[in-house]
Amino acid sequence: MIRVEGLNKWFRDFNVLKDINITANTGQIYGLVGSNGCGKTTLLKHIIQIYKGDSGSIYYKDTQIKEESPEIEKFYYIQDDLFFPYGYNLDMLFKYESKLYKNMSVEKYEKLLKFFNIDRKAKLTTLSKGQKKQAAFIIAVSAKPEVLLLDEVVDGLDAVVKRKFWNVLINEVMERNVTVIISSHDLKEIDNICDKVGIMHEGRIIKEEKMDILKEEVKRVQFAIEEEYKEIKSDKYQIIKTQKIGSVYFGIIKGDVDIFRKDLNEKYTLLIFDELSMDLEEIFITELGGAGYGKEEFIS
Amino acid sequence: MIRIDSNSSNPIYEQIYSEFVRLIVSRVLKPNEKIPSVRELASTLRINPNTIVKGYKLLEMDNYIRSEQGKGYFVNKRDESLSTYMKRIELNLKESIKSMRLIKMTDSEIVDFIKNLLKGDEGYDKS
Repeated sequence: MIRVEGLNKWFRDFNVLKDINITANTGQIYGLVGSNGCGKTTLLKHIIQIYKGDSGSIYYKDTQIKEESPEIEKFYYIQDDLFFPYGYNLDMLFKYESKLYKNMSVEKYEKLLKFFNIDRKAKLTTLSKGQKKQAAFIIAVSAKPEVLLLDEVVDGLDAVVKRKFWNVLINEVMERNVTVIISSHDLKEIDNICDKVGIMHEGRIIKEEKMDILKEEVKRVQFAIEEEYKEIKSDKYQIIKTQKIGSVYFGIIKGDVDIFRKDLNEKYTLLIFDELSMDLEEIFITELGGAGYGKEEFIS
Repeated sequence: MIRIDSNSSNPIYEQIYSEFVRLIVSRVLKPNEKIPSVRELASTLRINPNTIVKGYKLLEMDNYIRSEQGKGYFVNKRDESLSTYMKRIELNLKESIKSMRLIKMTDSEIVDFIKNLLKGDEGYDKS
């Protein structure tokens, strides 16, 4: 289990991380999502101790993690902008990293090389963006870490490789109970994969929740009534947004959808009522809309 | 084989449940046949393994499948899976009958209604 408690970070007078509290349980896939420049990468770099927070603490299995903690060797971080030592190929990198990570497995390395089909003798700097990501992932999994921190790791991978990537990751989680924290701006990609999601905005975690609860909390509805609809107020649910297209109303509801339906039925002549679930992208936009992000309209 | 619609309002674990029920009662999956492991299904569908486990547990609770220690999940004998399935149909029918009673349909009207439906359903298998 990884726990970040009250983490704050200032870059000069810019408050990049504001009182961050998150918990990723062992064997969980934790999705870190957020607007551009919201601090996802900075947060990951704190967990792996590349950065030191101004206040707050990070725990792994209830042990506080510091720069010199031996626990750090059980973590593996794949950063977004990869850089490799000059002139290195994958075999050389594997040898080099074997000195840093005690659990590095040749067997796993060979298996993954075959699976991903990466040229072990090619200079890493000459590889494409997607190939570099695969190379880094091969090394990361071969190191058999207990915690995998993945920053935008599926970005730049084609559909076939993405599938292979998830295949390996799911295997690792199931086989070895790896804890994964994965950041991504491609929300479709991590929807249905994550156990838990942390939504970040301007240096803050504005929402942290288990995925299944998150999906139960907010629902999309569409309905048609004979009369003109006027907003209903209730403490059982909250209507975040309604929009009328033709004679059909589209709404986003937080809370008890069944009671909303009942209320509608009592007040109006309800013709149709459909409840739809939201995908992570829609939940994200709704949550950030609540935080005042993305509400502007572009006027040309 | 298993189809998941991420836009459906039904949670994914319920979709997994009903997809397997469909395959089991229609005999696509035979009794004592091994169904995909959690890991296999999770990676083919790209869905969190815990979601799959939740669906499998539901299937196990309703006697459609059983888990064998260290071997995986297997389809149960036909009478076991059918008993739950029939119970579910019974429940659905009762619900429908209630709706029909609501508009004061008599018993004979209900029976006629269903008979007509059966006539109209060309895909109905008379065997």
